[in-house]
Amino acid sequence: MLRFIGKRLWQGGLTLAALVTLTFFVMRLAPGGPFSRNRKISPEVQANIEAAFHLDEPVWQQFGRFVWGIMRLDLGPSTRHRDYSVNDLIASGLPYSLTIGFWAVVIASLVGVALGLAGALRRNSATDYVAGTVGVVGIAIPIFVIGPLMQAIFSLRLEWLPVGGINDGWRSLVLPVIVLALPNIAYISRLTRTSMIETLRENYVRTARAKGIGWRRTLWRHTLTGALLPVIAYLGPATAAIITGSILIETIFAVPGIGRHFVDAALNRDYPLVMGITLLYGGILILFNIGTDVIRAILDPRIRNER
Amino acid sequence: MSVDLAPSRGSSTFQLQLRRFRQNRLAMASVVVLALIVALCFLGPYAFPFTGEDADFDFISAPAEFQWPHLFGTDDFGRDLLVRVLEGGQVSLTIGFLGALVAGVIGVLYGAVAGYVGGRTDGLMMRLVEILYGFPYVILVILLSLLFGGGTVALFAAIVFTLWLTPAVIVRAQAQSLAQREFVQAARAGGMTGPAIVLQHIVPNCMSTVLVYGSLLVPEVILSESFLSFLGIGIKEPQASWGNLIQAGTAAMDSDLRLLLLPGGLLAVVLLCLNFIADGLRDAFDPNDR
Amino acid sequence: MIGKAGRVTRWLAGAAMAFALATAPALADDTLDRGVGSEWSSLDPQVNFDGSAGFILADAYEGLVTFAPDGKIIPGAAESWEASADGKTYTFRLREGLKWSNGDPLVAQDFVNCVLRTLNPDTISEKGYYFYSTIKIKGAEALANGETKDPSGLGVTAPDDRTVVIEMETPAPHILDLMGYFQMAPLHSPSFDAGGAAVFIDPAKVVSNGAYVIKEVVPQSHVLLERNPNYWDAANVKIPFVKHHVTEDVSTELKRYQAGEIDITYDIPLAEVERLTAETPDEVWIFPSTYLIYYSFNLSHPDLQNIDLRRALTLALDRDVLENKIVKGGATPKLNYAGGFDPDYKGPDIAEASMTQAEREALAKELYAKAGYGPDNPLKLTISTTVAEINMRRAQGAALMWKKVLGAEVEVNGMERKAWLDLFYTDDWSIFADNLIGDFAGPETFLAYMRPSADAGYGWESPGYEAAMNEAAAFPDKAGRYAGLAKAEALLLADYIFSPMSIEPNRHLVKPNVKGFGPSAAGYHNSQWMTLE
Repeated sequence: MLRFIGKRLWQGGLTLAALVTLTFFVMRLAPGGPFSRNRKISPEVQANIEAAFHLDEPVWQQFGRFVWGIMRLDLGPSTRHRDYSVNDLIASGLPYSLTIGFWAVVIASLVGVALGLAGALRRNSATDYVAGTVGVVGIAIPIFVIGPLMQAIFSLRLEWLPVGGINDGWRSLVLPVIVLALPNIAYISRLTRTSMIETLRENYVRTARAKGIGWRRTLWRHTLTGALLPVIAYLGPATAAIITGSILIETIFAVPGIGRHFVDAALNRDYPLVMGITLLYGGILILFNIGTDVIRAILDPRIRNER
Repeated sequence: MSVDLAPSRGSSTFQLQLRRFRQNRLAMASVVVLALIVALCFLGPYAFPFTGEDADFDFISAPAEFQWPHLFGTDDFGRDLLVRVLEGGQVSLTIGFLGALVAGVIGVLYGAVAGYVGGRTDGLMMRLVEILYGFPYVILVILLSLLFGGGTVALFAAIVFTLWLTPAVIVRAQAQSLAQREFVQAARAGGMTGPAIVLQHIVPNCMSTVLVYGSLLVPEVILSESFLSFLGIGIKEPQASWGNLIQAGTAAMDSDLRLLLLPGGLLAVVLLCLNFIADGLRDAFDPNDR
Repeated sequence: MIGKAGRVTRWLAGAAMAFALATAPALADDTLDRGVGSEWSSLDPQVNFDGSAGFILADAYEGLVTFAPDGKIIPGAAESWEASADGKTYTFRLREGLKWSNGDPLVAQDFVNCVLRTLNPDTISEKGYYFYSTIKIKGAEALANGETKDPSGLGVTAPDDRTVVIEMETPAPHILDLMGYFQMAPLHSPSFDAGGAAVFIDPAKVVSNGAYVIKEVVPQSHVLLERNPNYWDAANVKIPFVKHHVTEDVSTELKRYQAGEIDITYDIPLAEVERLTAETPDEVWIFPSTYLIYYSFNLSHPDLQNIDLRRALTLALDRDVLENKIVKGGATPKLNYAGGFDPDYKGPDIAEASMTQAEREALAKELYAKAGYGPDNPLKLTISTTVAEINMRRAQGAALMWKKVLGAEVEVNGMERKAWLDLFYTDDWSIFADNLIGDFAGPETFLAYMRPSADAGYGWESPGYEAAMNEAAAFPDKAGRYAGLAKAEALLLADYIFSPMSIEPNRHLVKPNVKGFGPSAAGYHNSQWMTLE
């Protein structure tokens, strides 16, 4: 197992390097630059600015500078936010995205799996349809509709929770976490239900039950672990995406996370910030994929035996 | 999408599956409703003397009074809301189903091959998925619009480009464990070729997950279209789509809820139908239930 | 900056505590909450170039002059000033006993240092052009270009601690508009020399001279300001705390306003302007800004080389219907270019202004036909704009009108902003949904931009315009100057290199209990004038 993890980590590092290199060069193909403005700046000033951010150097040299920066854990200055380095911006934004994302993943996993199980164990019953509908509603109503709707109900009508911002402690968290969790509840519950139904019919479950092992024990020991495999595969990339921030959630609820930074940086051609967040997101994504592979290998002996 | 992917297994099996599907009343009702909506979207606009892009400056923001010709009133350019919603449905349903189908097919095949073959190939294929996942989406979209000129092709490329990744990961996870199963081992021992095994054993056995996930992809495609128009590619006003209608409706939510309810309600009904149909198909095609 | 070793721990602690830490420092009633739109790009007063930071810095710094709630220029750090007879030299007299927020005396040299730092190429500020182009201060351009590092040649001097003298190469009556905090925030050299530009966002180290000082900075979230006890007029500053919130999403901002989290908004959602104006007229503030909108014609485009056609397109638009019925953002429709900002500027007399819309449309059709277009041979053009809702609505409306009046087939190409900016210089466009934000609320900033020698990228040649502008610039007094500028504008409009559209307004919602807010075109709304009741 340790060898497996080590190998995956090594591959993950290579993947990350490939991702970062690709992004660095492809990003430059987009039209416009960090300092293209409505009003033309005088050539001298433009030259000064470009020299200060090393944009006047050949791209490969800039890439070298970037790689050297990574080795010193320095992602360089942001071109959009002149007062901050990329490190500062990530350090200030990540905690907010992490906190909201963490709770959203926890809630989505618990509620999603519960709904999916309820549906699978009482197939085509009222419970199943209600659970299914709840799941579908989570995905049918887009975030940019349900967010403002929740704000209108819980903040303006009932006055229970703040509309946005971060100034109200845990109460500021409630709406963004719920809205972020909803579509994921839908995916997780649907995946759990269908995969559970499949697994219940598998030979090894039938065998176990035929052997007289108790229904409950079979359910927990064998079925559930088997049924959760696709859910876990889904959760790998999904968690990485959720905890590194959602542009929609952070914009609608005025959360100063890094999801907003990512889109904002791309739109403003803030090359260093785009690279910094790509590196962070790619790193987290790869780590979570390794994590899910390891978990699946532990849960499913068939995968483990192969390697 | 199921019909295209399901391997031909003789008409008797197919007829059995079809019969089984027909017995599922909820699924059949959903098929009828969905067909009605599709027919309404594609035929309905012909019943009106104007198109959804014709501005009527005398009727700006007319309310829904169910009177001919503006049954549900007009929007703030004086364009008929109902006709716009129906025309938007043509665009959104086409993109939604086509996008989900293409993303689904690519994802399933890619994932099935990676999971079945395993080893170094699997590793390489999955690392490629990770790189594509990690690439900044906004930049990708901007580049696609540069490449394809911001039209429907760019929109389609931008949608499919990322949406096939998650089905690929999920199917690969299932294929990986399927590859070790007795019947697959047996098929291999029996001299069946790799592609045949993937198509006849791996893919059908992943079908239920794929169907369910695919039905969730449709709304995702329809809604992501509106985010993309925000980046300057895809369906642009004055052409209507459910994505941009819902977005415009959300902006005016406090003053005029009707702009949101009509397109949003239709989308929700389509999704519920899809959900029940997917479940019905899943049950009907279940290979273990034969 | 955070130490590298501590960063990981900080992240972990931060993840748990981020929300707990950000608590309100004072009772809500003590704090004025204001929206600033998208995040400020810099709080460095010599570098900042955007409006969001402008709102914040207006409270933290004070220039030689300042701006009353209605936008009028009033004494700031300088109690009085006088101009020489030729209009080229201005002498400012500072108030007695001025202090920085840390108690240090504020002296004339601090203002000179501001100009020196802005011009210094190492500062990489985009604002130097204010001092060598908008007004032409002696020696400024040489410093900005890096030709010299010697500050002694600069026409900004401090003969004693309370006198600032500014010498210019040409007279410029609009100099006072540039002497506010945005261009002329004094520089506290001891703290800057010790900590560099990082001091401007560090509440522990920042030293300022405005009515407020920076207490807390959270990127993408807010800046909290506290009353500055050392401000010369501190006794008249009523509100103890001001919090400037980043309000990226205008719908969210409206909801936060309705929930009482924000007292003054940055903007109003377009779809809500009409309803809010009807329901709460006292809270809606809509007044012209210095944001000019015009549609530029590409002069190298084969169809648009025809001036009759350009005039037909300009005439065919019913700007009242466009702005008031379709865009509905409260913009002021206009047929001229530089008028409508300074009420003293009357502008040239143009034929279009005295025609009814029906007459304009009739003439447009005539010119369109004369240019050789008709139902069989319709004109085909594209409007290139950004995808921002207001720009899309205006472009669609204009396209519909060109279709209705002329039969021209005009497409709207909505683009992502940077791609749109880039497109302008590629020349691969026919009609560009253009805009220009003036440096101050007067005609000269707009007219100077159009000078062919300023090379704004329109490919327009007009020696007559250049000469008329030079002639106007020689007048030291506003009256003579404005007459000359009107002559120049007449030449500009006669060539129809663009279709004037409208002046985009400032749109704000202001809570009824906030008093002292006024319509300032340049967008200066210092919190020090306001009270909470």
